[in-house]
Amino acid sequence: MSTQLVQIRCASLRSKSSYGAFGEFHDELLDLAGATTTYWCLKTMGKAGPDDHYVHSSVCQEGRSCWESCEF
Amino acid sequence: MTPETFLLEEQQAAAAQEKPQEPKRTENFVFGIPQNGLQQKQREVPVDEPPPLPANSELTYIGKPTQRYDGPAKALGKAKYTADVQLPGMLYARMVDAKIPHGRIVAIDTTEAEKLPGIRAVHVIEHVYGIAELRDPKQEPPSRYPTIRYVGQPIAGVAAVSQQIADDAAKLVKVQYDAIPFVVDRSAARADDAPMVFPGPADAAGSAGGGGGPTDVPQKGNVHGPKRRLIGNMDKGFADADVVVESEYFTQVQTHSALETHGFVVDWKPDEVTIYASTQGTASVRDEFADVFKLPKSKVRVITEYMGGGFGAKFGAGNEGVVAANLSRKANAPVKLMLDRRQEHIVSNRPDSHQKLKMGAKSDGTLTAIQLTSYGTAGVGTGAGTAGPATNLYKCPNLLTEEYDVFINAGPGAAFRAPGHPQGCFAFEQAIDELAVKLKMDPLALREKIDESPARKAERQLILERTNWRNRKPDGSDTGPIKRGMGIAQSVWYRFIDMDSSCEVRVSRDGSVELMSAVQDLGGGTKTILAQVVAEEFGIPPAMVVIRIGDTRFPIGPNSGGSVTAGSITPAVRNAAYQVKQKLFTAVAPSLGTTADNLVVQNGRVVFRNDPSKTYSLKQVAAKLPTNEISARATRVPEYSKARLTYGGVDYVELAVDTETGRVHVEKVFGAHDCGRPINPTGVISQINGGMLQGISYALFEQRIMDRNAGYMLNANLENYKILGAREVPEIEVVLVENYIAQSSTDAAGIGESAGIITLAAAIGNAFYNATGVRMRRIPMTPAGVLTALGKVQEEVQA
Repeated sequence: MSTQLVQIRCASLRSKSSYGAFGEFHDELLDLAGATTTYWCLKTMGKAGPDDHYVHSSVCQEGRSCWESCEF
Repeated sequence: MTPETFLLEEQQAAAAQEKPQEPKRTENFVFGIPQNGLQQKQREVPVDEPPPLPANSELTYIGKPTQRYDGPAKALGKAKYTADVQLPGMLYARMVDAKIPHGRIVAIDTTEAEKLPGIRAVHVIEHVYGIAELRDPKQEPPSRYPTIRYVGQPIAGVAAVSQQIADDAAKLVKVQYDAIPFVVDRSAARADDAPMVFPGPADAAGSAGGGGGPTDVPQKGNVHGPKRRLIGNMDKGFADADVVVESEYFTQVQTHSALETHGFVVDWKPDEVTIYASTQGTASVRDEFADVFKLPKSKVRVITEYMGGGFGAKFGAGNEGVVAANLSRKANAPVKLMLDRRQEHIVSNRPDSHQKLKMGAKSDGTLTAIQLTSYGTAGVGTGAGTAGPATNLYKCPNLLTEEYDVFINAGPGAAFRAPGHPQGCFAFEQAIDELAVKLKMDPLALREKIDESPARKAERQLILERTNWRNRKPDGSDTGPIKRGMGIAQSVWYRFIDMDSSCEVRVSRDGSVELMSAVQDLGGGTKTILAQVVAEEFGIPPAMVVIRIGDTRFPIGPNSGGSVTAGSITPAVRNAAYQVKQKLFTAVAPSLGTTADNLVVQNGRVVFRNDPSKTYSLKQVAAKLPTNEISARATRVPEYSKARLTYGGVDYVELAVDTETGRVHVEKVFGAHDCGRPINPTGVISQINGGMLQGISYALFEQRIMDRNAGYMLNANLENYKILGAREVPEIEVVLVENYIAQSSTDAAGIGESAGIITLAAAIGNAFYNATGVRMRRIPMTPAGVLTALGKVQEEVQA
């Protein structure tokens, strides 16, 4: 059975925990980091996305005009 | 691809179950805390793992106080930080940043700057639209330039043949603004009629509130949240309580103030881009430069030989890195761009907080309910949550936390040494003391009742044995204008492991041993512990191991954030050292007239197991190598068990409060801390010393002050942004509690977060109450704030 990846957030969303391979700690890391995570947009290198709205995992999702898929 | 980006569909769990299990063997590991009695723990481990290590007391180099590997280089000024890098033909750059807190850029004129003799390149940051549609074109019409949302926001960069010329040129860049109303006060920003930092309606599905994103974290006005967690039933929790405490606490914005400012030297060449970075993650910088400039990672090299502090704020390329790269490409020369001190104060910070806590407990201290609501501002960013301590220090059947971010027109927050925890602990651990007062319990005894951590139990015992706690006076009973008191607070942090942790260990025929990894040393002593781990395996002094790290040409290393470094990279290092040692024994055994399994390292010598009289030095053994060198590479293997672990500490403070001047003087700090198996106690204690000093500085001095009328940081310098100095350093004593966890081949763990920065403000607050009988609900505890709390001056209007 193959693993299926489902992209939910923008390919340009970044945070400190974007880098690294946290494996089995992944979900726990996101949960514990929770409301203390600071994000930035790789397109703008800032806290606002190309559409001038703020960057956050809850809003950098499919449906936002500047959302981008990952290229495999 | 980033961890936030994807969810795995359910098939993966099934796929994981179908995955063939790698061969394993069973081993017995030392387990537990010496003070509580060491035990044995059986684990299944991969067959090629090294044998378990005994307790530190039985080892030669691991666990022994060891001088800093790079101490002489630093003391002699030979250590080259990014700010020290000098390359042939290198240019110097300066960022141009915004002078207004909110507005649109109408025009940027670089003509005068470009005319300045010595200027080589100018780069202006432009708005990247791509497929994006502006959220509110009426308020923020399309522009060639990004909207300005805070004073200090990067606008452009200039590069010149000297720093002075670059600084002069930056001043000649003329920026014409169209100002927009702004808000820099958190309380004011929550008002319905406050200027919007990010105006416009939501466009994502499931929008909620007055203009925000999906319903999981709603937005209304400048308020984003809450991030909500509910466990159990709050009504029942408070109904079950015999006592309830309710309180409010306030913490300030603290800037990172690393000694070495954010910065890069970028040398853009057609065949490879070389980046010298002041970073906590060489891998993060390489990945981000590759992504931004559409380069293969193989053509991006990042070097961080020495690093002057980051505290969480130095990941990725940053605006300054991207600007430096563009300048280097335009000028066809290496470019150094380090932020100046003012910019360093603005680029990142620890968010402030306003926390409301309500807690219930039975008469014996058992917690029945914890409710936390917090508002904080990370400026134009998010991440002001505070619920970590309330959620994870003590078990409570009924818990409700609601964390809100409030946007203001100020520099962005960033991860900062135990994000959210110093703020949360300041409130929560004082509220625990409030509960103790109401229950008429000793604060230490209350924690003994409600805390399940075996490590902190041992640490509390150390507090009892090694401090003056037993002689603690009743709260507020000290007489005279100088009142003394003592207090404690506890911390919690979490074990995370980054599997991107690899290294290579090489042995040459002359007996020299080298370690190579891209992992960086932020100044915490990573080089030293890596040398110790290799040294232990070969039986040679750590100083004889050559450590080459901080270069992405070496195997990938973990990014250093969240205290992951020691726990992630040291097992890979030990495994590589062990493997190359086995290879060495296999290669030389025939020359020694024996077999590899008959060779063992004992007391710094290679010894025949069946004839201990036959011993050789590593140099003698390596000389038998049939090839010039031999090496092994290893990558971190998964944890030995699925156990989820935390670390922590208990910190004790003695202080004096001058009730006439309002000055608080911390006289003594004693800390008992755990972080798995300490590899270098000297380094761990040094980190804790630093964390304690940073914690005292946070509690008493540091504070970003914003001009509400002009919208800029008034004290963006180290003259007016007060940081603890030598005269304010108390007597400090630290005791480490070894905590063997049987999770990896080293059992090491990081100490960066739970090193005193989490607890000190709360411990000082509790000691202040013990001294005066007055609860400090706001930091920093400045003389004005103290006199206000003591009722000696009228309360100021504060956020």
